[in-house]
Amino acid sequence: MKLKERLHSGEFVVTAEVGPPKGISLFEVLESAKAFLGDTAAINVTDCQASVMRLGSLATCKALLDSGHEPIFQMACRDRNRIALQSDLLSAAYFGIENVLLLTGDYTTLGDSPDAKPVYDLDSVSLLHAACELERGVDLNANALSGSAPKFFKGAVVSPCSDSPDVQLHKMDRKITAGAEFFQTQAIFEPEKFIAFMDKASRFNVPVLLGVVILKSAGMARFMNRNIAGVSIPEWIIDKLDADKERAKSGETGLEIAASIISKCRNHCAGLHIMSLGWEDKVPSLLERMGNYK
Amino acid sequence: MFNLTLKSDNELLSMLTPDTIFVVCMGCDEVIFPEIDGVAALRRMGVSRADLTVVDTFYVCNLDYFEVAMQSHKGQFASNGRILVFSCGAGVQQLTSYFADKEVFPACNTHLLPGFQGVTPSEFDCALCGDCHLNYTGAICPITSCAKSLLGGACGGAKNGFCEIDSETECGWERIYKRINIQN
Repeated sequence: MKLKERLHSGEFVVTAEVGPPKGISLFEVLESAKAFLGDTAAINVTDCQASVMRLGSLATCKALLDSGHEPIFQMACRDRNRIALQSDLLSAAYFGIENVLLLTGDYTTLGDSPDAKPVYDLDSVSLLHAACELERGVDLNANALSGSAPKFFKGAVVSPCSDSPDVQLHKMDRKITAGAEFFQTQAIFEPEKFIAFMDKASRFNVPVLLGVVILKSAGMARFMNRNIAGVSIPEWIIDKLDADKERAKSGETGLEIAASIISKCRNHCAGLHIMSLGWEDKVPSLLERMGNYK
Repeated sequence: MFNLTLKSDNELLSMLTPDTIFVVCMGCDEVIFPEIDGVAALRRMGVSRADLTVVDTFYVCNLDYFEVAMQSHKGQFASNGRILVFSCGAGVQQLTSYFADKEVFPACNTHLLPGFQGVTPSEFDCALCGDCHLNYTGAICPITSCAKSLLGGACGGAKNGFCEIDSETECGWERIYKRINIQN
């Protein structure tokens, strides 16, 4: 069953994420997807995440599709103008990639090419609108497309634990008006904040997948607190990771924390989006633990 | 040097309410103002000077001048009416900061003309884009106040209300939401 059908059927859906390499060998990505992500409904492929130049998301999506996975093509507005963005949406449709996740994207100065010119010709909202226009058989300038129109399942992101949840809620509303059909969230470490946000967001009646990150160490948690917007990892979690460094390193502590957050939030979301950040091999174990939390 | 064009009659009409207060900038050396066209447009819409408050002054952007000009209209400004400003983006933004709790609407679009020598509207965060929608954004310009110049709302990158690329710059969209909340 496709991601769209799964979400519409009410199934508790799990998606995962892979990051393309800085190079042209996809061997490791495809191997770990095959070995560890087989039980997930779909796999996001990030688009030069954190503004670091890498192999393209579209090429990686095609490779995943060819090896039997269902990809979610992430597109950021940072690196392409509206001509290139619309063109890449058509390219995705040509390859048979329906799922897209459309976002504004981190600023260029945060990555490994800080002097790159940021584009932002469109933003997440207008890119969602562009995808809808293409589905209607026209481009953003109302010029007709030839042949049959592409079909997308359009996703967007939201950051429920942001310091300004009302600003996020308003943006979410705009994204839905522009055509967003599902959401994946920033990593969640504060279930109370997430649930409070979802109490307000449930009126939109659009599926939201809870963002999950398996923490590897207290250092990683502190780094995320300092640098990642919309993420605030409470002290008790950091203390837990600090208490037994070996256990944290083995993934045991991170899995335990993630499973406990999931158990608190699972009745308030349509599924999970696991951002494993290189720990793809821990995903099956997390899914197994979730079973115990049903 | 820059040039103002009036918004269309339809756009102006959509901004009018019965208690609208008009502020008309009589201009400055650096700007080409459509003040005659502006008065003509108000007439076309059935607005006469007799039944509406009009404050006109040179340099609306200079609040000292503006304060002198509005002395005789203080009563009207105390009412709830919105303010429609015939000026460049700088004048609209100055009046919004002056009347923190009032809605201020721009009646003109501001366009850049090359060869400008004086004080620039960029000092007032006006990018002279020629497509002014400050009335939707609490008169805080998203083109100049957001690092990504986003038009669709905050990007989600802000941390504690500050921009993802500069921890000392407030997120433009959070400022917009705050201002709109004050204006309600």
